Amino acid sequence: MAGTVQITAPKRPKLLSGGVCRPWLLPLALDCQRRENDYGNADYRRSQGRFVMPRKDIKQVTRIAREEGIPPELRRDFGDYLESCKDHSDFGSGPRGDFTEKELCEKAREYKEMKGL
Amino acid sequence: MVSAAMVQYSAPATLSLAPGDKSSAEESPARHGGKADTEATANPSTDPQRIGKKLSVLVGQPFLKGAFSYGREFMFHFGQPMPYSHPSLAGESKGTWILGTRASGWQLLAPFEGKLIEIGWPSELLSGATLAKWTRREEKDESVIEAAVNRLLAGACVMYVQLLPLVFGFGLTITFSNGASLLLCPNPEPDDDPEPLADWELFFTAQHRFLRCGPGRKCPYLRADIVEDEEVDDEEPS
Repeated sequence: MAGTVQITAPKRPKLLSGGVCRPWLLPLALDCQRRENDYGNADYRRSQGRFVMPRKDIKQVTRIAREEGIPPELRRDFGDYLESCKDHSDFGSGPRGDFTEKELCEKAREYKEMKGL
Repeated sequence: MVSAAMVQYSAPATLSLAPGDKSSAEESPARHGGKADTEATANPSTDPQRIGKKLSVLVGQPFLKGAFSYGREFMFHFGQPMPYSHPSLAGESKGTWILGTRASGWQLLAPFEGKLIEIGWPSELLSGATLAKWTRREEKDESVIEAAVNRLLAGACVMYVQLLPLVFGFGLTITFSNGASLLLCPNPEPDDDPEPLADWELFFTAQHRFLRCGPGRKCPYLRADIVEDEEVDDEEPS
């Protein structure tokens, strides 16, 4: 059939956990298999031009919030607050307007003060 | 750097999301067999059935909005709009339940429009023959990605939530009433940090609780209003 995409599964694929996968989960099952088997090395993946989500920034803001005594539900809101700062042209000095470690600490204190923590 | 691929495909029927399948969160994950189930012992934070029960609160909830948070983490908001308590965010609202994707990859499949949005998800998971017929567009503008997600899920409710026990953690699928589906797969790269990042989090805003899933196959249900980790055992979040 011209112009259509067929995703066929000759055998029902299995999830790594051993369960049988429904057809629409095929990509997920294959993905996990391939990642496990071939793409464990982060540099290799990057060198192939592929994209994986970076952990660094999320970790940094999570750690700083914890150090500043901001509980998880406010830490989540803190992330939105930082985005809102950037939306209002209050950029950090890092790449893409991200905040540096020092700036994030200042923002966390500012956030706490405004919140009355 | 955020990069999302928007893929156009032309055979939504081949990826039909049959609502009749037994795939809801309440279903016993025992049919998946495997290690995850043998670990499903007395520890509630590793018991897929118990975690699935917690996730089932999402079923029937409307999608509220999707937005990037700091660190390019995408947040899916569900339920009713609730005001932020912070003065600088006054006038904005968040969902009763918020799914934070952390550094996990996710795909939003919208068969009715023939669109697939993927973030942090290797595209070559589909065969070259398949991809060759798809129109692929890299999109780096966060606002465009947000707008696309919000448009595709506008007015949709959650129909099914399913926890996926994988080798390196728990994945998640959410099926929406309009036929769209969200697949979330933990980042498989090992995280050797002393304080490793969770794979994803689900905040129960009104209850001040959250499910912190990963790393690995554990999802403790914790208090969200204190800094220290304190696991709670609320049977039914109200």
